[in-house]
Amino acid sequence: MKKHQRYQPMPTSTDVTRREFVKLGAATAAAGGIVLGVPSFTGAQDRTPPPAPETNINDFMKVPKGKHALPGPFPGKVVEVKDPRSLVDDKIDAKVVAEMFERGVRTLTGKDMKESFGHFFEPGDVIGLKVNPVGPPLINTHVELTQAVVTWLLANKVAPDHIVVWDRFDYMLKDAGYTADRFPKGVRIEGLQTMDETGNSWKDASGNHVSLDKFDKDVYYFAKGIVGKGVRGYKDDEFYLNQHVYNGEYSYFGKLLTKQLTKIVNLAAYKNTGAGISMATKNMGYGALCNTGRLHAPLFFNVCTEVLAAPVVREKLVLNVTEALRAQYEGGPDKNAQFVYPNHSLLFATDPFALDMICHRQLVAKRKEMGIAVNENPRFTDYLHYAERLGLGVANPEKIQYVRV
Amino acid sequence: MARRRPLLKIALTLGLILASTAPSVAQKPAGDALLLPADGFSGTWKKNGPMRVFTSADLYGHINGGAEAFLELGFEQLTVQKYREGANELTVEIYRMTDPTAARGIYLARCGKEAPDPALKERHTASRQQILLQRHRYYMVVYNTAGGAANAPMLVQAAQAIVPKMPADAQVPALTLLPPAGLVPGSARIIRGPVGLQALYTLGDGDILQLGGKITGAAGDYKDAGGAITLIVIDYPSPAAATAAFNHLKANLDTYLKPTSATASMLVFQDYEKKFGVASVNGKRLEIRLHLARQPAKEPGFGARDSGFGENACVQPSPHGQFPPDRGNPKPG
Repeated sequence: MKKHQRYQPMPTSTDVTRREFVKLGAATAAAGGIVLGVPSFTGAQDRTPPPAPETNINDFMKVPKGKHALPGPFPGKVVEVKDPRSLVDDKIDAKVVAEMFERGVRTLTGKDMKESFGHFFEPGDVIGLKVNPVGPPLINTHVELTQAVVTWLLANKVAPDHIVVWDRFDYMLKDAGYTADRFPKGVRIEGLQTMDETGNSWKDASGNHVSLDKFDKDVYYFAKGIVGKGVRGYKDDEFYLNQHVYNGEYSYFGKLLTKQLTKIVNLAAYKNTGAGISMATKNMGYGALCNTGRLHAPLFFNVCTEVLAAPVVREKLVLNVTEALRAQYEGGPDKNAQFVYPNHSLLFATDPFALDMICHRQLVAKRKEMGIAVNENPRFTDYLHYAERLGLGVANPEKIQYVRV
Repeated sequence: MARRRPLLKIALTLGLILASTAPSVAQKPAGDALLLPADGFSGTWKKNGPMRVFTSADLYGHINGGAEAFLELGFEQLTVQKYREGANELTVEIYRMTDPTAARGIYLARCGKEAPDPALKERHTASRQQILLQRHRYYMVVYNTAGGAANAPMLVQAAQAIVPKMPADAQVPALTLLPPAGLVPGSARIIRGPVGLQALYTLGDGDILQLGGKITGAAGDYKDAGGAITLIVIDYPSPAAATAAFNHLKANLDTYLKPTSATASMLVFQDYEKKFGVASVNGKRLEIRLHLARQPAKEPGFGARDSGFGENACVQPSPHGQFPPDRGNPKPG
């Protein structure tokens, strides 16, 4: 049986500078969007499925791993805390959620909260809390969990302005209730980019994208031939660029990650995306950089592994919590109340790949229980095994230590 | 350099054409304002904020990650309007699809187990958090945005204010492709591309069945003594198109599926759960059966004589109402 090619090394041609690479990418995009196209209905006639596109994963893996690199101090360990008091009559009990958070962290580390803090953080850290604001009020990362994390950090003398609640889009944060009045003074709430969903006001007076300067052009995820033009769903570059800031073969990481944050806590929501899941690794994989629309069709879940392999994420992502107070087994990643159920749990891991494997299996079981069509093709968890081969986590269910409290 | 100029010229020309035909902010459509409940409906509910309209170009901006299914089935525009009464709020979303089949397709993909409200006659499902409803080429969602149970009756009233302004519902011919006998209730789906197909099964990368967002197939689950199977039926515009799609599938079968036998009109494969699938083409019809407990019979001349359920079972689907039971030759091909 033939296998998909997992990845290929970056081109070794050293006489092409990165700036020239960008130019080449733009030229390819200009031609490719029209002449070659990206995988689409119209271009699919008699097309042999291509191998996975070449990316710069090898460049990421060449960087030696540091002290806090994934999978962290507890590879393959996943803790689930359940408490039926956490969600009653559709209302989240913040106090119970805070208790669950403490229980989860303590069970994961085997230490008290102060010692646990020392596992993950150092004095002076600037800590980003990556939330998922898509699907409010049902199936996003709820403010109550984020508040519990902030309280823990403040109790351990992290300065409020060293705590940044973030996602890609500022308006989505606001829609999900992430406003300054919900947090202690000084805690920052930031979108990597401003995105006007009606497409009216994302350029400044001089015609530049208002978020242009929020991305670091020196730190990127590269996918050869996957250009940010002609992306299905976008009839022209105007709308594409509204959401993605740049096009071309490069997805740049936010400067928030590359220049400011020294640690990241990943607070994901518990939901499906098609036959797969959109939880811990996707929250980071598609939330840390721009120009992601181009990646969905050709690379999709591989992005969840390869972006997390980037040193800017791999060395900083110290803790993952998947919020499953409510869970959604179908119709995600946006909300669909038909498929949302109270689940009353939080799941914890330093290893996001083990965490996602547990959640994927739970969601498959739930879909079966609810009579939903289940596509169990192994490709939907291939990216987790890929991460294991890269040494970023544990995906083999038999090696995962799953603790329920 | 000179060789590049024609390509550049073509690219620029096409770019200008695309730019001139692409919708701009100024050209945004007016939306389905006439369908919306009037300001002050049910006495005290007022519009809260401006009506927003999304086209295929910016649907991603509204339903991040969920737009593909709409676009694949055939989407024209979305009209969104919020309403408020004191602390209560609801949101009306009216998706105008290209045709009733597209609207039914998105409804079936998202409705789950239906729980109708007796006050509504259209195809819908209602809960205290939302109503999903389909009529003609419209798919509508009314959200109880504020979330309170007391607000739930207003969802029905909002739907009642909208539905009479929609055209009468229409038939969805694709659904008649599915034999009604044995069809598991709630399992019917409409497929026009890889997003819809992948929710059920992965046959290969990309638009493996060459539906192109235009050709419509139907899928449904059936149960018999052999267990549950999924049936996909597609009528292509011509026998040549059906054969081309079949050949494309045969040549690009997913790497996790192992072909066990193949002829010019039939492909049998085994999947990762050791179950079998069979794709067969006959005229302009492509039929695929999945999750078969045992290997289907082979066509005559392909090495099998004991098909058990007849040589035509896989090749010629029964015209209407019946398809052969899942039994066949347990020997590997």
